[in-house]
Amino acid sequence: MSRFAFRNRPRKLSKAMGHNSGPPGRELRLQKTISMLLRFQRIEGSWGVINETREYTEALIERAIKKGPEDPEMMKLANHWLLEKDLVHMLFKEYVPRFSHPKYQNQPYLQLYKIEMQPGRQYMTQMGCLELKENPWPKVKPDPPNTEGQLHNVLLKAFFEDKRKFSGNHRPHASTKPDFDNVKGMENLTLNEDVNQSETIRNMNKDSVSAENQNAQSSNMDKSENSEEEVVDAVLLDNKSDRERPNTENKC
Amino acid sequence: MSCCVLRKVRDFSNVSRQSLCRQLCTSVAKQEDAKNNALDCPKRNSDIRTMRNQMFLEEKKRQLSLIRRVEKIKVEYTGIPEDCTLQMNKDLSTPYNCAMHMKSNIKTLAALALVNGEVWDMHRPLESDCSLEFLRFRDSEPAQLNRACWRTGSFILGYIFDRALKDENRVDIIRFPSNPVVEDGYFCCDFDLGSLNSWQPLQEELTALSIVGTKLIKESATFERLDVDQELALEMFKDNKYKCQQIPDVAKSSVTGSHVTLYKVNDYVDVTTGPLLESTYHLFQFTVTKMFPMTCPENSKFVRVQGIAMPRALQIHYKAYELLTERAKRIGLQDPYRESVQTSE
Repeated sequence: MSRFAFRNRPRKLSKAMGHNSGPPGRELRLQKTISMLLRFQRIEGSWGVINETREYTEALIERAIKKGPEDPEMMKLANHWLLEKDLVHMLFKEYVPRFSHPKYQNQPYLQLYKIEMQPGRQYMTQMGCLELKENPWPKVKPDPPNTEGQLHNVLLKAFFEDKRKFSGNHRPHASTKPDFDNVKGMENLTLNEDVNQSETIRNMNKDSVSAENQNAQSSNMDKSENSEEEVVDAVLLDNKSDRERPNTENKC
Repeated sequence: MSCCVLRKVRDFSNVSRQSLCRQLCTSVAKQEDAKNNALDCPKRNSDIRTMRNQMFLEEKKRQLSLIRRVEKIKVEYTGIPEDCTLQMNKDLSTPYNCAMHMKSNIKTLAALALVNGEVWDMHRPLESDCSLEFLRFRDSEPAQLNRACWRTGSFILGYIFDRALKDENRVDIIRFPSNPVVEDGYFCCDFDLGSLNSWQPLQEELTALSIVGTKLIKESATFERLDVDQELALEMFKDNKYKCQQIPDVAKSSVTGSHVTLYKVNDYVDVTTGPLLESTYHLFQFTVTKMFPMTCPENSKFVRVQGIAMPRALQIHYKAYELLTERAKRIGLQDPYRESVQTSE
């Protein structure tokens, strides 16, 4: 599955740079909007052009992250789509480190908003607002209000928790899965980095881990080995007791 | 009896003797009949209700007459529509009066007030200079309000059973939790229904009971609050043996050590500690879901009634409400009397 939604065929945008400007005009328009987006991090425009810009910029940043600045084809591509040369430096020094974070592995880098027309002006062109994520501007939309503590939500949450608990196959809720930020060791997975550096980091980690393990082993040596098995048994029993909790609690 | 009356009457020589005699005798006989009836028959629900209502009104009038001089206090309000300071009357004006001064419809939205960070009833007079906030059901953290809503539901259950049954059936309210757990999904109230303690009502009868509650909600009756002395409360609830046991403990745990808070809606009075909602306008759906016949450790039988309600500000889909009512029919897992439920099936 794709990381971002895209249209199956390119838009024509025949009037992108004036009447009858054709495919060259379309290309010029997209070059302009992409370079403006990378400079100001948030732009506004008509829906067709903005949506087309989104797909091209996503692809550009993705490739920049994959191939790096030393790839000649990549530099050719960046020079083609970015009209001003300082934007190429910006792309590789600012945006590539920002979007190479593991949380963007399954997320788009851009955010697209529809701009609502005034009532009575719906005949006008649909406008859109496009922005890079983690930009310094104030938010386009306010955060949604926190409705978790409201009475109906409290009751419904308790209802579904009960249902899960007494349904037999007890499993934790999906929301309890750890985020990408919390996974240990993900910090070292930086792309486009010298192999030596990452190796040294790994070695250092290994050393520290092995030292900790030795300490732990020396402390555990005194205790009997059976304790671990007992612990395992206790964990299993806990799980069983959760499963064996009968449905009778629910019926009255 | 008639002889002694006649002896007294002899002094009035001018009035015709026979007519006077007739009048006095009939009136005396009527009084005696009334006394005998009162002694013989057990008191009816309606009589107790009117007595308590009257005592409540008299006490309120007496407390109002104690305030001789009107003093001004400064109230600092924070929240919508804008922060402001108000000059209000000491011991007279309530948070609801403060809300009446504001431009927006906060008067209808606010269900509880926070005075100096304390939960405060909307119809309880302010005592000194203070800061003021309002709690609404749409707020981001309305946990205290949810608890007040559940307490109000229990209070309305008491109101329903006080008048829904026939007058011959004495109904004594035992207790309801002053600090309810909202996650349990129901509010409850314990009753001593006398001969009806083992009654297991049909679904239609439960619906008829909950209609009494919805009628009260449509009236949008306000909850009046009053602090009274322990002795007066004992006299007011002398017919209810459970309340007589509880009132001294309640009075001890109060701030002054001898005060009991009473709440009144329409003509029904009950003892509760915690704050209730501003009026019944803030509730919308109300259902009496289940009645459990139970036995105490002291082998006295009573009935636990459970119900569920939804505020007017948070109307949910009827299907979701059905799910919640189904859940409200079970008894709580942490209930102390859970094991003594007489299973009907």
